[in-house]
Amino acid sequence: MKDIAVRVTANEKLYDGAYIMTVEGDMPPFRPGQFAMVETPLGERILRRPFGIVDADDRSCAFIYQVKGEGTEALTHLRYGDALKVMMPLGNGFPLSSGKVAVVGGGFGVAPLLSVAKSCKAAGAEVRIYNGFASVEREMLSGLFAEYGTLTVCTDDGSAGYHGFPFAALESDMNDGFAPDVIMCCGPAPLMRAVKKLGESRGITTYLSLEQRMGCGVGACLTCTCKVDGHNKRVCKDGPVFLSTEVQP
Amino acid sequence: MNTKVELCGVSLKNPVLTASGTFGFGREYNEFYDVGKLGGIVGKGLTLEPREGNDGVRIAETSSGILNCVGLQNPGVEAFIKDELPFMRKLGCAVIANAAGSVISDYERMAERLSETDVDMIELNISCPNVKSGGMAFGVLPKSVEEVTAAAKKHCKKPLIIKLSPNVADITDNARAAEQGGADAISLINTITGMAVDLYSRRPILGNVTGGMSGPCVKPVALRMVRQVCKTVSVPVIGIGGIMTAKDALEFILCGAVAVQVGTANICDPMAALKIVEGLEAEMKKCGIEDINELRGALQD
Ligand SMILES: Cc1cc2nc3c(=O)[nH]c(=O)nc-3n(C[C@H](O)[C@H](O)[C@H](O)COP(=O)(O)OP(=O)(O)OC[C@H]3O[C@@H](n4cnc5c(N)ncnc54)[C@H](O)[C@@H]3O)c2cc1C
Ligand SMILES: Cc1cc2nc3c(=O)[nH]c(=O)nc-3n(C[C@H](O)[C@H](O)[C@H](O)COP(=O)(O)O)c2cc1C
Ligand code: FES
Repeated sequence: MKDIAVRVTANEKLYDGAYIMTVEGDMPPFRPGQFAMVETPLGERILRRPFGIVDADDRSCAFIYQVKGEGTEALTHLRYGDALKVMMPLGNGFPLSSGKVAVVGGGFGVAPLLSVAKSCKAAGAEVRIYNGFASVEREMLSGLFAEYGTLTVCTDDGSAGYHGFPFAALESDMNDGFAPDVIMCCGPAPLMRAVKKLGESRGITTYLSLEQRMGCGVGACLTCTCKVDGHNKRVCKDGPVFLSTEVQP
Repeated sequence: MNTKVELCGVSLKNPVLTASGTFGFGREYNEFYDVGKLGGIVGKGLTLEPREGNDGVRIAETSSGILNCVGLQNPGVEAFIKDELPFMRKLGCAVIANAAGSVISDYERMAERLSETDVDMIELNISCPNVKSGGMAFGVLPKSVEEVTAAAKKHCKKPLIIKLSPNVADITDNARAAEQGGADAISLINTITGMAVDLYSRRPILGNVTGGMSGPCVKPVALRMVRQVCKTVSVPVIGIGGIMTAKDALEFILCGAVAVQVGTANICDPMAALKIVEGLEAEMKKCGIEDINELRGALQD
């Protein structure tokens, strides 16, 4: 992990309330599913914000963020060339798999999964991706995901692709004979609960990427804990990716 | 230029320590920089037995500050001695253990056990609820401050620092009580009790409802209390609260502190404590001093 001085190279609206930001700097290597702590330009909001690494190389890194509160609102005002600090890569990330992989994302939870699909594909895996969004207007990254596996876009309102939640699309494929070795999921808690139930009921190793409010992001302050096998563990350092059997999202 | 100070017979290469609970046991930040460049580190608050801490959300943000309710999650004193202390000792800076308890005998046993180790000093966090006094913190009433200090002191063979809570009627009464109980030094402030709520869900943000506030927003309160305490007691004082820069650190020294602790700043910026150390000389130059000790208590008030 490193604290990197970066410059914004782009900060574009995907739709109202969602942005993709790329930054340039001296980037260390990362593992898929790891995250960054990003400084906000609001001086009085002193904590950094955690965001999944969408993709990165040695010079640049991309994030997708939802405008939620004051910190992310402030990020939307960053322009080309603005300077900020980004601490990364943080957390454990998803394991690499070369077997049959099901990637399940919901909303902004798809952000850290792109590099998961990419790296598994590169390792020779058969990757199927199930990404869920509220509606077609909220769909993200589909062009890129489609390069790394068979993509099923799901919408809650049926405005595009599979009408329903992504775990249901995966379940339906499994009923048709798809037998993943591993499921990797990131998204809202209800989605993760459903995927946990599905994976465990079929005996498939399932990994979930959890969210918690964070302070330091590096494991020192113990403010980001969740229960893992009954004990408080740090989401930022021991996670954010946990085996579904260890956690209750 | 000289940044060396002496605290209870322990020589510190500079007066910058890290505050308990914000720096783990130094491992994480040692990946960012050589933690040995700091004056010293104060470890996470320890208890006799391992503790899980509080459930639910443990951190919230406020203007220029944070609130936390970690609740003393720690591996217990024995695991600290076995797994953390050897690493800390190798860093090349002073090592201070921070200890907490629920009854007076916990503090006695902690002081005794930690005295058998090679920590340089022991800091007692007395902001914890005393389960035998209906949960009122040890640090609230001067009488109980003196009692817990005197009890721990009897079992302590290391310099004993008493860390005062700011959530009290008159900080000078409590400082005097700690000195009378035999404290070798006093550190302050611990966090100020506060809370944060979510208007729209109508719920408290923190799992524990209330939490301890820290960061730049508490600095004026901390400076005031440090100044008052420095004028009241003759033991050395360690200033804590909202220190983000070398200038902040020197302000506490100007008010009479021998050393300072940096807490929340580490959480916001992993390089913070090192930057403060590295910024000292430039600030000292602006103050027109060669030796940091010249500034101590020089406030003309
Ligand atoms: C490991 C991890 C990866 C994440 N990746 C992404 C991502 O790729 N894209 C994305 O849009 N969001 C992501 N999030 C959620 C994102 O961090 C929050 O939405 C963001 O911090 C909100 O900041 P704010 O200032 O707008 O909100 P405010 O509510 O004003 O923030 C107040 C405080 O609460 C914290 N906070 C609020 N909501 C959350 C939350 N859901 N999770 C964690 N902290 C929160 C903030 O960081 C801040 O400290 C991730 C969270 C975690 C823990
Ligand atoms: C996340 C967190 C955990 C803390 N844990 C402890 C602790 O275990 N023991 C203790 O004496 N103080 C603890 N503190 C208090 C700090 O050591 C310090 O006194 C306080 O935060 C004020 O300094 P600051 O404004 O520089 O953070 C904690 C503070 C924070 C923010
Ligand atoms: S955010 Fe500090 S330990 Fe996880």
